[in-house]
Amino acid sequence: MERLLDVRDMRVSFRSGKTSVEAIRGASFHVNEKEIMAIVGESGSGKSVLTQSCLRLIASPPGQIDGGEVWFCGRDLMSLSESQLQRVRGREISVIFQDAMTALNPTMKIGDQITEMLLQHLRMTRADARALAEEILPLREEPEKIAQWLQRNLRSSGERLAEDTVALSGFLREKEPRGPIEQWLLQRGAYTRAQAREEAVRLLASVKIPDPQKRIDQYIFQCSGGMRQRVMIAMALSCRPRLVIADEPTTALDVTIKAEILDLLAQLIRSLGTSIILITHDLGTVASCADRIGVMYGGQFMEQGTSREIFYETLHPYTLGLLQAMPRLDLPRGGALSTIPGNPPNLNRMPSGCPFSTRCRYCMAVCKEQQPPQAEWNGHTVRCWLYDPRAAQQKELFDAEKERLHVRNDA
Amino acid sequence: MLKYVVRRVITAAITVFVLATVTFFLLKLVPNGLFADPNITAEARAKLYAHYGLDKPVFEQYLVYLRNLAHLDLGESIANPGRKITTMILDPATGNGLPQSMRLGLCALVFSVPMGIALGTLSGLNRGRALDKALIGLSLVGISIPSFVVATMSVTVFGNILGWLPTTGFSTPKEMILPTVCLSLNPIATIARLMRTSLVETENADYVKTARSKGLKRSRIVVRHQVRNALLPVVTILGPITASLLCGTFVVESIFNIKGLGCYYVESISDRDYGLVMGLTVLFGTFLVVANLTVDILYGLIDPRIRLKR
Amino acid sequence: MQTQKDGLDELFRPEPCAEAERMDALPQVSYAADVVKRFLNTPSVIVFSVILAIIIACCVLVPILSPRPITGIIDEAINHKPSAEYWLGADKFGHDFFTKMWKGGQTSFKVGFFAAVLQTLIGVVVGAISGYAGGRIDQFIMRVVDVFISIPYMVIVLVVRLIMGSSSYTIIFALVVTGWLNTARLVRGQILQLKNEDYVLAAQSMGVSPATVLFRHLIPNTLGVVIVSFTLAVPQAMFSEAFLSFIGMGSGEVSWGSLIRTGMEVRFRHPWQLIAPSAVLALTMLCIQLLGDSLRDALDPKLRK
Repeated sequence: MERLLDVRDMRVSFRSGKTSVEAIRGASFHVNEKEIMAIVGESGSGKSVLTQSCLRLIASPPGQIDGGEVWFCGRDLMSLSESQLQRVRGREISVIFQDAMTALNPTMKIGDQITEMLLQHLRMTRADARALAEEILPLREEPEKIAQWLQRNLRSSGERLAEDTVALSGFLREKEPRGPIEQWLLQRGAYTRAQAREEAVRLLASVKIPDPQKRIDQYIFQCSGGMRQRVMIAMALSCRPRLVIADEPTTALDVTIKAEILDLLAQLIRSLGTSIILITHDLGTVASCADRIGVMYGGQFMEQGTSREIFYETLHPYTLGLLQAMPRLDLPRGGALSTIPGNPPNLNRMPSGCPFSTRCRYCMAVCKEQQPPQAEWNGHTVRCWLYDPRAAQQKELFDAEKERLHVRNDA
Repeated sequence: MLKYVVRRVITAAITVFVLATVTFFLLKLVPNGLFADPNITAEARAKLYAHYGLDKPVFEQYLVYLRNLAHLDLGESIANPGRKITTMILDPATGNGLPQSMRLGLCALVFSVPMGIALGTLSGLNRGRALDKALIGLSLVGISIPSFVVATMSVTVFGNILGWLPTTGFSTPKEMILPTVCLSLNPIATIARLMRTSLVETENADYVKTARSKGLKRSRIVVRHQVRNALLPVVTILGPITASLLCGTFVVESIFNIKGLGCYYVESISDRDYGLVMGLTVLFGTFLVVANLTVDILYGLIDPRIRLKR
Repeated sequence: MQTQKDGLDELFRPEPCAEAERMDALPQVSYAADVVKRFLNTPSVIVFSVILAIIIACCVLVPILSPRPITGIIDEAINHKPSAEYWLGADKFGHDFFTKMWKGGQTSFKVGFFAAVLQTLIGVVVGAISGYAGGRIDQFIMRVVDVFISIPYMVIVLVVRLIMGSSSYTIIFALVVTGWLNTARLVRGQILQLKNEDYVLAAQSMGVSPATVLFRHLIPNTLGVVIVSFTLAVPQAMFSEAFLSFIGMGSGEVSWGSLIRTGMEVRFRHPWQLIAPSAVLALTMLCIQLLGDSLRDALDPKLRK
């Protein structure tokens, strides 16, 4: 499968005065085309910081990206200039934030907040036209390639695609195609305020907001919680991005609306063929919809694998702890829920070894002193000393515990 | 919004009424009464009392006062017998009094508000850089140094010693420079500081992060998302700013010898011209109430959260 | 995974995780200690505190220690030029200007301090009652505040002065009458916010008496705001006093404002009599303003690391 986003060894720290804390300590993950990748972890584990750093969105100062590569469509986003990155943000990768109430501008109409984004990305500027013409010129008269290019860059489809292909082929036959092509692109890419507004109404309707014509001129504080999140989703999907980062999109919502919003999101994503990074602190949320899951703790990925692997072939004690902590209706009442003792790690005082060593039931002396290496089986990765052959004694205990959980689940 | 405006207007009207009443009765409390000059005979004094209607019971005086006030008639000046106070304040003949003060105040307001906002924005956008630090220092100095110190110093230096600018009057453009600048320094510094703080606060706001995640250009984020929201708190202090400008005019008028209301007020108190004191007090109060009302309504207009509240 | 020769072999023994002891080991920094530390860590704070301390010391000590009288008329010293004996010269009464300037400072500080203390106290009490009581009482108090706040303070000062005659207590009284309004509004706003905090609701639901809730839970938590508004009220009151003295509506006592006023008249022959009090006044205002700013930053929990 093709990797859409490939993040390698990200390191992010926050500085305050003379002290600095490492929030992300060498995290790597990837997202495949058209897949839902879930990142799960407790608050403070670095989920949001990691994904926002991929778009260089963290406030700097105090935040600072110390290293790492973020490969997206053949480019390392970390090496792009700010203006190059602006063309990626929103257009190719967009973000859905947790609390739409604060994440949307309180003094700007909902419609304006959507259209400003559409106009920014979909209106063709002279410079855009020049750059695109440069790409078209080598295509010559190969309708196949022209059509492909059109689909990719102008999002033409159906009849429009056929028309566009004919028009472009016509220009390419001319002696001096550059000028006419630029002109055509400018015209083809012209995007008026009225068009943007129409599109915004259509987008609001697509996220099932009733009466979008009216809503578009309202402000965010006039909407209910669920409505706000729908606006946020409509905005994030407005430019048909290839990747959406959904940062706890349902955490601020009532339980009743939660599932609705999540379903809507999944449905829209599927119809657009977009990939999604779904950040959550709740394994239950992602159980049904995620293709792959990464479990984060202390700024690192403890375990990554397909949903199946995470739930049924658990490798890391932390993941096991999370699974045991999920409430279950089928078990007899009265039994206390299992918890992971202790608190999430304090970034100021990270242990020098495995970050989870302070709370791990299978902790060994080595865990406290040395960071465990990453082990991998067919894409299922884990960072734990249990998978060192010398830890056989502890691993037996772990396997037994895992067995108990799964026997219970199967029953 | 309508309800909001109506409530504000009613509060404002009540405030003016209370102010007029309190002023009236407070001035009745002044010991020694009026015409304390021992050279005036008892007979002459009784005549004067009758002339100004002061021989009637206090409550009746109060009703007369209110009725006259409603007709914008403030009575006759005591220090300048025979002159109507309303005429003195408006002074259409010489252009002194209210028109003069209004011009001074407006000049300062028009100069200081955009200037303060611009400097504050400049400072906030360059947070932590040398320009920011310089502007912070300047605005701190601008807030700390009283306007009368600035005014005396600048009159001495630019007027008397260097002779660049005239030291008195407020009619020609050249005459207007020094008083306007002296009166504006404090408001500029206050506005700039607030603007900077609130702009820096928007920098960390979630919606600004969202705007960045949308791939908007920095210029657009600054203008449409940051400055617009940062202006809201600035609007709220325009009321107090107007009040401090009013006090400032007292000083600037006295230093630059401008015959405005501040000048009259100080004179009227020295002369114990109670009619004028009362009239000017009510006028100043009303002016402030109207200024605050305007600011409140303005705020409601630019903040949709207030405008659309039912 | 292969076994490596990394010298870790003996470390693969079970060990209890150490969460409990780690929690104990976390340094506990109290809010107050943190505030003081951050306040004193700003270099400018030290500099300006020292300057302010020197100014206050001069105000207290110079008039006591100075051998040159500043009452009555000293014929031989009238309009004396600055010299080794008369550092800043002497004024038209023959009073040593250096001594007189610090005497003037006493009035400024007295008015500034007492007015600020009184208006803060009244403001806190009224604001807290208004915010905590809510309902009709709150409505009434806030309407009164609204009315008062629209009256220019100049007007109140001048009217009070007319009635009570001129002394520094008149000025203090007038400043307090106008000054408590802002503190009251501020405190009320804070209380309204705090009232809905969980710990307050918890205390109420456990049957703690309203007075205890107010004085144990609410008022202490508004302390930061109150301290900041106090530090801003001091220069504000000093400024008002100087301003009133300057336009000739002051207390009648020697103060920086009145000295600047007379200095203005003699500014060509005795420039020092204008420059010196202006400079001291401006410097004092700057110091207090800056300390207030730093204190506000230090108290801001958002900046706490």
